[in-house]
Formats: sequence, C-alpha cells, structure tokens
Amino acid sequence: MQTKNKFDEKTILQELKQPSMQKAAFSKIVKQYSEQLYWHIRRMVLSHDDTNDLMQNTFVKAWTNIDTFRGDSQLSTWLYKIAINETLTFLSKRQQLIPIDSPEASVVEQLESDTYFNGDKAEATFQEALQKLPPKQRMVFNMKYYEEMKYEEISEILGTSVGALKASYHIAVKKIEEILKEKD
Amino acid sequence: MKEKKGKISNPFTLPDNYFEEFHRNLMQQLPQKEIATQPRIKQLPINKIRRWSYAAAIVIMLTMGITALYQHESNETTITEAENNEIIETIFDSYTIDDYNVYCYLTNSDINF
Repeated sequence: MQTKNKFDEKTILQELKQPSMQKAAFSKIVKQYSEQLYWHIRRMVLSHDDTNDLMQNTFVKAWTNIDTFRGDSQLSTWLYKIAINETLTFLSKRQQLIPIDSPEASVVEQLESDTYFNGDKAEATFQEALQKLPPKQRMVFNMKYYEEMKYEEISEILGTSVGALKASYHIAVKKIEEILKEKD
Repeated sequence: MKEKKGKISNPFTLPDNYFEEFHRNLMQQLPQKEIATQPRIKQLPINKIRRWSYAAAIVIMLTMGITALYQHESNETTITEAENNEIIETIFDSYTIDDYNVYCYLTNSDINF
C-alpha cells in the first residue's frame, strides 16, 4: 500500500497512545488515507453522496475504536477492513430496499445523470457490468484492477487466501467479458 | 482485459477541494472521547476488594465443605470398621476350634490311619 514520505506509522502509533496527541495523530491518519479509501468505496457504491456518508462512518468508527487498535496489522489494513464492512452493510441494506417487482434501474442511466460522472457510454457500460458481479467479487476486482494491490495485501484485508483471490479475480474478468459481449 | 495498457480510466469526479473539506468537517464532528482516567483509578480498588472478597468467600466455602466431607467420610469409616470387627469376631467365634474338637479330629484321623 502506498505511503507518503511524511507519514511515519510508528510515530503515529506512539502519538495515538498519548491522549494529548491522539486527535492530532488521527488528523494525520485521515489526511493520509481518506483519498484511497474514498476511491475504494466510490467504485463500490458509485454515488459521491453515499461515498461521503460511508467515509464519515468509517472514520468515526475508527476514531471511537482507535484505542483497541494494537498495531498487529498496518493502519491502512485496519481502516480498509472498517470501510469494507461499512460498504458491504450499506450495499446489503440498499439491495433489501429495492422492491422485488420493480424493474431494475439501469446503472448507465444513473451514471449519465450523475453530476460527478464524466465518463462516456462505454465507461458507464463497463461500470454496469461491474455492478452485476457479487459485491465481494467486485471488491476483489477493484482492488486488483484499479487499486493495483498485491494479492497478499488483499488477502490480509479480506482474510481470504491468495489462491481463492486469484480464482475470484479470474472469474470476475471472465464474467465482465461475457457481460460486455452480450451488450455488443 | 489488459492490466496496464488500455486500462479503463477513472470516470468518476468529485467536488473541488473535497478531501480538504472532508478532513475539516470530520475533525470538527468527531465525538469527544471520555477522559476516564480519574474515575477508573477510583473504581479500581473497589473492584479489587470485590474480587478479593469473592475469592475469600470461595476459599471459606471450600474449606468448610472439605472439612464436612472429611468428617462425614471418617464417621463412615469408623462405622465400617466397627461393623467389620463385629463380623470378623462372629466368623472367628464360629470357626474357633476348641481343644475338644482338636482331640476329636486327631482321634478320627488316627482311626482312619
């Protein structure tokens, strides 16, 4: 995972243990990781507003539980886990809210009307194909394809074996290709 | 689908200065943490006393229980021993061979020989 030069995790962890420095240290953490967590969540939920809400939930949870973080894993891994948990819970709730009888809203139409989407039709279609994958498979695909993470890093975050992740990514790519072929 | 070349670009955008704004708003909205160092120090001896009193109660109950059990078992042992002695004495009495019987036995044996 990428880390900026100014951000020294060991120093931050020491500062977190001191009540007087805790908030300042957390501020550095937010600055360091908000961008990569934002894009991770945004690719899953697509909407900027939903992403913003999930970002707030993620960091508030991190803040309230920061004393329980023992440094067994990297801070980024821990934050990713919280963000993923929040995102999957959100997606599950959103899925439950959609009435079974209602026609499925087109992702392409949604994206084309979104102020914060400036992709063309092909890019919207690609996002629609991604949305057809199960959430966890989509997550693995995004982490590998867009975020260019190593399988070992994804494995640590998701608690899944490297072999299973490789298989999941491979299946995801095949599915996307098939969906896009059907569209053509 | 190629990994590097021809990769689908990021079609999503976000408001200007979003991350700066997000950081500022979040830090303002963070819930206050409880500074509970003083009450914790005060509560700690109570918890310790409570723990020790529980431990003491358990030890007392165990001691009393073991003593009662031991006494019960030792009473049972005495009764058993007394009974055993009585039985042994009865058996002994019934099988005691007096001189007369010995003489009879010897005489009969002699006769047989």
